[in-house]
Amino acid sequence: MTRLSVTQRSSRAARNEMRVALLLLAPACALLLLLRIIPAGIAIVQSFYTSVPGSVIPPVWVGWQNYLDLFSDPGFWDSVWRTLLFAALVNPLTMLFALFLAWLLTRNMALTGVWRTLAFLPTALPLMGSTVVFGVLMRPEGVLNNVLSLLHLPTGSWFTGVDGAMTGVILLSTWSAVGYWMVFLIAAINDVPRDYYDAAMLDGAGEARQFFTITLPLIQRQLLFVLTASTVWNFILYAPISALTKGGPEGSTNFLMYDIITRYYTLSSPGTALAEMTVLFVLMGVTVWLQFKLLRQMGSTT
Amino acid sequence: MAAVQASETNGQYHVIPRYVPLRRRRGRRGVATTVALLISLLFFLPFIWLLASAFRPEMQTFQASVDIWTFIPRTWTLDNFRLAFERGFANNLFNSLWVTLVSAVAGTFLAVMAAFPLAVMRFPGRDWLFIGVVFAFMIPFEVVALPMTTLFSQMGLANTLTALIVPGVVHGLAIFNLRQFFLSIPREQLEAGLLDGASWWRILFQIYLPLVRPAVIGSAMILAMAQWNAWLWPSLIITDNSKQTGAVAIGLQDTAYTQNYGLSFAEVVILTLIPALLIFFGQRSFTRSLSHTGGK
Amino acid sequence: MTTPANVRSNPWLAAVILSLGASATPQLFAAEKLPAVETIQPPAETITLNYYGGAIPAERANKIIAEFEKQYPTIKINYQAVPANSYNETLGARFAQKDVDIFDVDQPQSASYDIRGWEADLTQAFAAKSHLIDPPALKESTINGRMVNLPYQIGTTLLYYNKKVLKELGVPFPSNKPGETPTWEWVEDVARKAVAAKATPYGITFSTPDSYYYVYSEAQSLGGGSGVTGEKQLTPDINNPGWVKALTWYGKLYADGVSPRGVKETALAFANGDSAFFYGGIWNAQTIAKNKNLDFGITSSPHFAEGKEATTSGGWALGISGLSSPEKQRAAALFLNWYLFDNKGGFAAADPQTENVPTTETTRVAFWNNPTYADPRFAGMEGILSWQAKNSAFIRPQSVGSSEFYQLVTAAISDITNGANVQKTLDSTNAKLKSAWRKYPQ
Repeated sequence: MTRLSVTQRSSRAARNEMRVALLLLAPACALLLLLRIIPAGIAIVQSFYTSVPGSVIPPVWVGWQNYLDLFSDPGFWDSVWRTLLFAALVNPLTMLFALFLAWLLTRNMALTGVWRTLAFLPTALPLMGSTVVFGVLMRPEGVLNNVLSLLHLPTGSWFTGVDGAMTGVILLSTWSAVGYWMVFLIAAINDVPRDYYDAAMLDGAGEARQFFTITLPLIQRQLLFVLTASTVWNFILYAPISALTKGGPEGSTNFLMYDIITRYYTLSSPGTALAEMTVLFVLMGVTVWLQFKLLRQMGSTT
Repeated sequence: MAAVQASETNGQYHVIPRYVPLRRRRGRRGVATTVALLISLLFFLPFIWLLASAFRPEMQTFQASVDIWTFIPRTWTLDNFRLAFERGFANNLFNSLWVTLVSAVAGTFLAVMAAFPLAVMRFPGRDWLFIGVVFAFMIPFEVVALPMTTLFSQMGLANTLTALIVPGVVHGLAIFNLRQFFLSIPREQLEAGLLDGASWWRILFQIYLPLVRPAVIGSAMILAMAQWNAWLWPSLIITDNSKQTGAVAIGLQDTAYTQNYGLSFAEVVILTLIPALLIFFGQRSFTRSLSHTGGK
Repeated sequence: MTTPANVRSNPWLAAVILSLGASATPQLFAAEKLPAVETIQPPAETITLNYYGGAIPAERANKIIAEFEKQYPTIKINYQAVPANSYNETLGARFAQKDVDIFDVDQPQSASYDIRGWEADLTQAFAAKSHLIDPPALKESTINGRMVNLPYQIGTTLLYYNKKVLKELGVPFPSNKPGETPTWEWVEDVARKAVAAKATPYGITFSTPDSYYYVYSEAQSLGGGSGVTGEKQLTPDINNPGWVKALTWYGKLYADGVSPRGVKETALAFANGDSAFFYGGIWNAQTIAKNKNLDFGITSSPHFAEGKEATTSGGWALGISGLSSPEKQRAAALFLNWYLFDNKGGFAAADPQTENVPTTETTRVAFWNNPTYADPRFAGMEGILSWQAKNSAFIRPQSVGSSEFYQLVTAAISDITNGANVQKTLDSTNAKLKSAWRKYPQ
């Protein structure tokens, strides 16, 4: 058999590689088309019409009017700023707490399996369930305020107050998600080879030093994953707002996702809602991209 | 951690034993356990309340005063659970289980197949495709929900469990997660395989896959949790109450005038038990470290 | 509405728009009127209808249907519950799948569903029977002179009071004779005394604290009207002095701790003995009566001393889908006819747990036979409810923009109970309503 020349073999190998790659990617891409691209395309086209969902009235073309209406609505800009504020507060909080729990539950102690399961339980709770629970426990005269005053901490108005509502949603979101992200971070922490810790202990490093100089840099990749995923999840958070605050009090929890759904279904303005959706999507994309860049700068990339 | 902390010797260095006194070692362990206990208790408080509420009549759950009876039922009853099963919640539970299982299995397989080329293989436009895939799946479901409902109805899939499974089979985060793990495997593995003349399929399934077991289980968990707690899509596409999933079925007993909170709490507890048990028995298998010995 | 030129010339766009769930053909069905129900014969072959509801639990709906199917064996009805807290939206999705034959309608949504083409015209079908329906109920279901759905409930509110607390305070019990209505001023006074004396944690609770339904009687009493005016019921009027006064009074109750903020499960609170007064309806009766140890009584819905008598009205109704085939619509009409006009009592006889007052004499007889209402604590209730329905009931706005109305007004009331400035909130709600309603033909 004639030996193929180096260039011929590598170009053939490269073509083969591409063929296999595309084959492997085909199912995911097909579903992507069906489940996101096509419906999103329809949704984007819809944003240039006004219509009444489910109705027999045919939609009416309005061009960019929906976008213009949206940008001239002060409520929209209020939503944007609140959503960004919420994202800036809830994501670092969730991540830090998840990291702390992951670190704590990878220390040597009794019954780690039990603790990890307990920490995961809030995630296992259907969001409908946790919203009712928090709604009752966070009443002004409810359990949380009673516990806080017992511990000599300030009580809050929670879902009945303009300031308390966002805090309440932050607490609910963090509580629900922290166990979930913790599991990923535990895997990441366990991934770090023992040898590094042993060497550090030889150098006389304590727990804290070991964490910051060894653990943290080596779990960077997973940390980025958790931060990104948490950001995405919080941008599209809807159920607690709908069940507990309905965007209030006084619009203080009227985040973009809730505003979009309200405009779409209740206010029957799908066109404006989809225009807003595009804005949210752009915001999400920019935030995630920024996070990527920031973390990439902070450490060495592999 | 051993009582003696020593480093490896290579003959040139002294072994430097550092004995940590036994008492101090136990003390450290005791402090860690106590801290864990305290945090878990506060964290777990809403859950204690939920459990108590599932086992007592709803009137007792909503008392205005806050005391010890908020967390311990004055009257224990299994009525709420009995009612749940009487109204056919077991059906909904089974639907949830089936849909979640199939989605997790099929979805993990799909995610592995998609993540591998995006991480390891080389072809033009690879990184752009990766960004495209992840961003496309960031499109929130709520907005494509109505067009998707129409789409699926026209395909004749309305009110079927298949319609519940298909959207749950691809998840951007699951693919993202696997890709991260694939990226962390040293390229030597790949090169060794190629040198041995292995096909890409062999390389993926026999070399790379065993090395990313935690990621596989992690992605399965992402897919499973997303399906278990899914609400909007099942509520739109499933019209028969008996075909509905557990999470949505809880709300179906609420009507304009009646709302049985006790029943809702009992069903919430039932729905929470299954993922909880899975995590309890499975958590070691995907939080275990993978060996980084490389090569061999 | 004419198709814009750019759609006609671009087939892909046209396909996309068609897939938006707007179908041209069913408009033919919507235009056809149902014939008089007396002329409709039961179908010869078995026909299955889909009934989507949110008013009562599925078990009870199936019991009612079973009774109906005994009389009409060729009509099978398949009842499926729709999540109640997203009822309108999810029902919309069912209609988009063209799956609906019969459905529950919350009466205030009648005009809104009508403009979406969901409701078949029932005027001719029930022309001979409509005089049997209580006039306020019939009025609320009549849009532009057409009867769009069949109202089977006419609810109105009551004031429940905790006898033990009133005894403790030395306050005489209010009368339970029809027409002898207490004043809100008196109620507030006693409620404040109860909270101050720590007799109960809550002075007065309202069945749904941020709902239009439980505040509009107060606003009507103070001359505020329904909040919507205009011939087409598309002119918002929620910030007039009557409404401002009523909601200022309402907000103050929460600000002063007479009513509790953040508590939604108020019927259960009253049943626990945690509230001196409870403003709710007969539909809360079963929850409250469950506590056998609670010593309570009922009296008429209060009015403001300086204002007029005003009580609430309305409830749920049954609609026939305008998108169904004519034969399914006719079969559905037979179901509606049996439901409300069957001389054995229709749905009320089949479902002893019915929680709201039905709209015809025969169904009412069956309703009041319920042993729950024989409880001596409810003494006087039947008389009060009948008097209120005849003398002081105000129906709710019949606007095509009702879903926007309820969303925005509920948010406003909620903000007011949590301390927002009343005039500012109502002004901004009015403005938002104006802009939200622009899309409807004025």
